[in-house]
Amino acid sequence: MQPQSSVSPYPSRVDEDQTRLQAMLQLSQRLEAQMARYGYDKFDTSLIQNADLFLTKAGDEIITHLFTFERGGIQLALRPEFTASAAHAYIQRYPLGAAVVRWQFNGLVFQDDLGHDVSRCQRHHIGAELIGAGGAAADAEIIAMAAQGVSEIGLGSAQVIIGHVGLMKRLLNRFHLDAQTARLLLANLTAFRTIAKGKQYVLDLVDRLLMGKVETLSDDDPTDLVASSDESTLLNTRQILDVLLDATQHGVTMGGRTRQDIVRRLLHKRQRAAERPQIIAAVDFLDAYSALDGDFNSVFESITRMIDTDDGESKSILNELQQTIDLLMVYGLSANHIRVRPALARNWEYYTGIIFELGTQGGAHIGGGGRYDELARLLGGARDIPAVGFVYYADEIAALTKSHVTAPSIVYSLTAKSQTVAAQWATGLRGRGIPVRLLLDRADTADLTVNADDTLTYNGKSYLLSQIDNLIDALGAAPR
Amino acid sequence: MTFSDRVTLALPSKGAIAEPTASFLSDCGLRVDKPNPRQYTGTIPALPTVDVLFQRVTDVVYKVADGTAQLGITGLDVVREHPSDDLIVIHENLRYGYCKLLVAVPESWVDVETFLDLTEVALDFREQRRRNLRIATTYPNLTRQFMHANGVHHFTLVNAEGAIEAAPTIGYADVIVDLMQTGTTLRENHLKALPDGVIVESQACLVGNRAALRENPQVLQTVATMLEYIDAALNGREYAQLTVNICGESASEIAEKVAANPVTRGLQGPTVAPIYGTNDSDKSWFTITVIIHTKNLLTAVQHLRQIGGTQTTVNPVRYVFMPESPTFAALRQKLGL
Repeated sequence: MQPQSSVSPYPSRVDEDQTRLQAMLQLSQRLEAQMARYGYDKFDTSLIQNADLFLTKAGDEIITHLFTFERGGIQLALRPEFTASAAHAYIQRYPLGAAVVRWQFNGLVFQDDLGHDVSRCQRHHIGAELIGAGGAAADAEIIAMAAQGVSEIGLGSAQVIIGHVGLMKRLLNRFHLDAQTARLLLANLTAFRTIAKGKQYVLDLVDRLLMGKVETLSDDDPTDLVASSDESTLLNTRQILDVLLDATQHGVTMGGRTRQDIVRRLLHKRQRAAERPQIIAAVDFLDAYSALDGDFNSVFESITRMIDTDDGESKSILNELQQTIDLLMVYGLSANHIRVRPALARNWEYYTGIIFELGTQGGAHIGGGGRYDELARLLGGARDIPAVGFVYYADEIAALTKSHVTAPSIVYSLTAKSQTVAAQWATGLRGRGIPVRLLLDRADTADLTVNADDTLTYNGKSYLLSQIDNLIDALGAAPR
Repeated sequence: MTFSDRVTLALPSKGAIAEPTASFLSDCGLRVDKPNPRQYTGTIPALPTVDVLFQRVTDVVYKVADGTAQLGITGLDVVREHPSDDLIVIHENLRYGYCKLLVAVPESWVDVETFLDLTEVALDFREQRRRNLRIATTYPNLTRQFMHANGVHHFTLVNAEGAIEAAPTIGYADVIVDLMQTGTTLRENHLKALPDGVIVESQACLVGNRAALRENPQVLQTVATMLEYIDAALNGREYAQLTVNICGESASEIAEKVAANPVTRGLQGPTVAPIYGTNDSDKSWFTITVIIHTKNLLTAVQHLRQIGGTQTTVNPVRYVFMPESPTFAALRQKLGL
């Protein structure tokens, strides 16, 4: 009968796949060395962090799966990534934002609520952050280093897909959407290119979530209030609300908001009804914009046509993107391996500029990153700090590189009747760089056996401990 | 392995579902005897191997999960708040103790009509007041999951025991997540429920310890007996026994007319019995008995009238035993037995 464990059977990760472990070790060493050649220093953070660090500017998808718990009234989280921690560490060390740092990281990150597949809850990330430097040079350095790392670990030339969150937000600005509407549209970018969803799905979503309740408020032309949402109207509306709340006694409980707060939001909701034509125009724009995908020359041409002639800022962003791609060529990336998808979306909401994804020739998605200039300020810094970074999904890469892992160094098994003598021989051999594993109870499978007279026999020849260097030569000469 | 031949059933000792639980079990033929109101134990004469342990609704969940009790009745909201792999929900709708765990905001927030409005207000708190939305609740786990899943990420949970509805008025919370039965308490405290802010639709449920159900035949046997009574009693509420007198040529002719309508066909078909002493013509009188779904009562009466039925009487049905207890069959499947 099998012995019963008293530990409840919550699945835990037991990694017994030696080849995978070896692949992970080798790719860690190679990627760390590759990033060190670019001058990136090691950086690490605590596994447990204040949850606010990750709630500040993460996407809904990330936050839903954040591994959180409470201690002493503080909500804590197991880190789901390294970037927010790096930005926070930066503003603590350099509150004035004067330094340029190049940090590389390598470690575990966690996600919750992914079912009982613990291998998905615990992931291995390797990557880098370049904080304090902006512009095309910094963007190109990070993308080039990330792409070259893929070649370094034997996966061939990386496929790089490049997008730009900043340009997309800038182009969306012309529709003068409120923050909530813009956020809703950007959060559903992938829906435009999903066959089962598409543009109509996004429009339905807008109507359902943003418009449905507003219409019930629109008993007259909503533009009247929009046009006159000045202080005097605000005052009048507040007076109406005062009368209403006092008459119904609803104003007894305000829950930490003032009547002014409520009036402001009421007006804002009415304004949204007037914005519907702009929202539809914005949805049409995003539908066309998210269809752009191809080599950078053709895509740049299409984007240029979408930029208003007087929109100097968008042109400037596009020029910088062009410079970044030119620099990537100088770093040795081939134009065949760069695709531009300007509406590319990544899960983290803190991105502000260029974003990119790394893939293999076979189509595996193995990493990505981007620019996040506002994150330092949002985490409490005095101002925006230019920053760009990326991550390799090491688990996916290890699965791909398992097949060409180089054999680990040979470990000799050694046994002796006397534990003292066994320890003496093992110490001598290890001191000369020969890995030795002592067999404690299975003498029959040993590579090296110490005889009763304390000599060690190998390939028919016996050696005294004083002749250990001769034994080393023999081990080196013998094929195994 | 040897098991005790006693099975412990944990029942709510106080709170909104304590009395209704005793009434429900009594209606099912499983009357609970509590010799002393100050004692926390009792018995069920119809289940002689069962010891009853009275606990708070939350402790019912804990006691069943840790195996102190093998079976228990509590609220589904409490089970969802304290999930455990060791606990299995055997019957999740005992049809009493109905309530909703939901998000409620001050009535004065006339700009907040849906949960999406609350997501905006939470962002306003963060950006304009530099603080989180404060939520008073005794359901921190369900509240946290619901908030994150619906786009409110910046909030602080305020632990509160009792009088949660007063928290926004007193000022230590902005909104609440609490149970609502009729809505009266919310209204009296100037709060309103958000229509899309319902986290759990709850009612009383029967739970069991997964390992005990799998491994201890006595527990499985007890739950089988309980479910026979419970399913039959709950089914009984759905049906009525209808008796009607009809004049006709023969029993088979009457039976055909009654069974022609699926509503009056009943569970299996009509029972037709002759009435003696009324043969004053060529035709005879018969009494028809059928078990029908109560929702079809008037339709059934109308059909019977059309085919000559009169003097219809309707009696409630206490139990309807089906070929097997569907809940017990589902439980066996869940347990892989």
